[in-house]
Amino acid sequence: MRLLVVEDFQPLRESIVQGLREAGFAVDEAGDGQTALWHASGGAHDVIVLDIMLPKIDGLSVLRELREKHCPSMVLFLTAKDTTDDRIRGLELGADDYLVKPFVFAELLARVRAMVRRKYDAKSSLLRIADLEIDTAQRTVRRGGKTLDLSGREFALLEYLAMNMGRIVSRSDIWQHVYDFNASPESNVVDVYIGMLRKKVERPDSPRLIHTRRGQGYLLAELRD
Amino acid sequence: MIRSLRFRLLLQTSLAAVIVLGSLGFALYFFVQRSVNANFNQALLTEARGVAATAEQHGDKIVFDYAPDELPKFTTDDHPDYFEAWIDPDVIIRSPSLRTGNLLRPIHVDDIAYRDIPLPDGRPGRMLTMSFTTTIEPNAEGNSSNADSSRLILLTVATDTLLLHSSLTSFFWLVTGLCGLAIVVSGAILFWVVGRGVRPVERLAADIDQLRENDLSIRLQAPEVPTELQPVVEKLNGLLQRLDDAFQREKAFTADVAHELRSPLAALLATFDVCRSRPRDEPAYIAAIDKSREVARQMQAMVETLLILARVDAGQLTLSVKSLDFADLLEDCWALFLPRAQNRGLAIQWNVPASIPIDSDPEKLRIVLHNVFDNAVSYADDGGAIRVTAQARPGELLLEVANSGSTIAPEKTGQLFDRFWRGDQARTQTGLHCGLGLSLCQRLSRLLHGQIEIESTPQKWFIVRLRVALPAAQKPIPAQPNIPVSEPISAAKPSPGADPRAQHIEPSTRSS
Repeated sequence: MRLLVVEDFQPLRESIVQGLREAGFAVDEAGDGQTALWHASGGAHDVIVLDIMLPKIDGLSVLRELREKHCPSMVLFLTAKDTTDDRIRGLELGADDYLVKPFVFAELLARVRAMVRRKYDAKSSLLRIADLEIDTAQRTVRRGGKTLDLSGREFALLEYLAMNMGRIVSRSDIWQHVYDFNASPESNVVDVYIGMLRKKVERPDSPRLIHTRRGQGYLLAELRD
Repeated sequence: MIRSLRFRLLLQTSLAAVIVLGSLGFALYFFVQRSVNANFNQALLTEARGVAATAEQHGDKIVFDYAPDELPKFTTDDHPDYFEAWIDPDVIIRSPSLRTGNLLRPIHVDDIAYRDIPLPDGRPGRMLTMSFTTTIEPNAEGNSSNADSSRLILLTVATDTLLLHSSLTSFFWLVTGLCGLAIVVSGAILFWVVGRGVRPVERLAADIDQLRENDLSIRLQAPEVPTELQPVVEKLNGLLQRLDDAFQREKAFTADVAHELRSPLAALLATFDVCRSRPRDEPAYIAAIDKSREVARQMQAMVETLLILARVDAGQLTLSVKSLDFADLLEDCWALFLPRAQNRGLAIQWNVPASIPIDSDPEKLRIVLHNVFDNAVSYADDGGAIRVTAQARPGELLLEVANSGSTIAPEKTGQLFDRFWRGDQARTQTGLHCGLGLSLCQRLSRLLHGQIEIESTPQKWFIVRLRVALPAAQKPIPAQPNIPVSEPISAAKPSPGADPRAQHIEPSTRSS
């Protein structure tokens, strides 16, 4: 899942970004409203963690503009203002959640994960398909009761496929939502990871779950035929 | 001292009523008594003249010729009146009522005289004394004796004053009683009137009583109070307004402080939480500790700035004036910012004389310079310029620090002195510039008997001007006008203020 962290106080931004990356998210960061808009306008981020008081363009204006552009990202307001008015203003502008500074990092993480689930209509942190179980909170995967050993990237890819269970996701979708921009999207890095994931997830004695749709992308589903 | 306004008003108006009514009563009684006495005397005189009219002289014989029923009062035994007449020195006639008693014989009578005496029968009475000459009646033969001449007769007539005295006494008590009643009634009316009169004061007191320290937005209603109390209400409302403003400022300030401390706190907590979430190698821990320490230092700087502000506000900060060289102080302070200025590629124009000896408080000046330099280095545009100009004029020290790339609208410069104001809702780096610096500089420059002005020019120069009044005893420094600097000194080359120590001092993050 891809996140954008917008916070002008660098030490705070660094820690949040580090914590979220370690939790398996692909994270972009911005220190002011203008950069935030530049990053977010593509709509690639599942969740944007947005500070209100920002240089150049403040958080509320950033949110207003994103909502005007129908940006699908969920927005978590991070605010040092704790008056009800401020919260109501943020929520009315279309923020999906808010967190008042200072906060416990685990809470930020839990809220971000909950927002990701909401975005993909997942009811719980445990995703199931056939005998495959993906625990997005614990970041563990089990197939037929056996725990699979996945790398962070592999897990992120599987999680994204699972969140879009039954839907075809394109390579560029995967690229946008799962990876940091350190390789060009034209490379076959997505196919390589899909291949690695298949090796770990698919079992000869179980039905295939990761399907390729030529020219369209990939699909995680239990197909009857 | 009686404190109750109602009681005092009541007492004073009652006293006035007592004096007025008492005087009126006394005057009334006095005039009535005089008039009654005059009437009484007139009646006595009439009676005396009646007696005198009966006197006839026949030759040398004086006869009072009257029938008993003509002068009944002098013949009756029941509370009679009396008269007695003399032709010196003999009594010539006495009223029958006198019997054996006597009336006092006046010693000398020029005119009519009245005198209060006890009557022979013991009653209180009044005696009239008069003298008259007899009319000579022609004798029976019709010729008057030329030997006869009119005789001077001394007559006293006395009557009792029982009725007079009892009437006057009754009248006295009537007047006294009426006055007393009037005083009591007016007292009651006054009590009511005064009560009504002071009711607005009581209402005002009740309104004031409704005021609570946690809601100072309530104002007293001026239209409902009497004109005399309007100034009081206006002054109270003015006071309330000022209190309310001060409370609002205080509240906003507290909220701002909380707000400004939250971001660094959040950074600390997030750093700890993330660092603690999994085992790490030593460099990662050291990095986290260093980062936390830096954040804590920024918080400390902000808290210290706040404390200085609070002390200035509370008047606890005093000047400690020393002789110093302002040029040296400028260079010392600038040395801290030189590395940052160099990193940002800022061009420095240093228009400062080699020596500016002044008497002032170096520590307060240092804080001001620190903040002004910090702002200039932080807010100048990348590759921009900073211009520092200083000069001492007689009795005045002038410092001008300007940076290019101002983003402040010229009309907004006044707000810069507000605490936590930072150009916009959107702001520059949190923690580094929490918007307290200029507010602090303003307070400190006032303390230094100076003032600070800010100008944002259309050419995008942001100029801070500090003027500090120097003690009058100060020896005037020969004015060294702005040294025209033809080309900016590059920050890469050390400016005259460059201090080798600068390299060892970490970039200042003092709040400004």
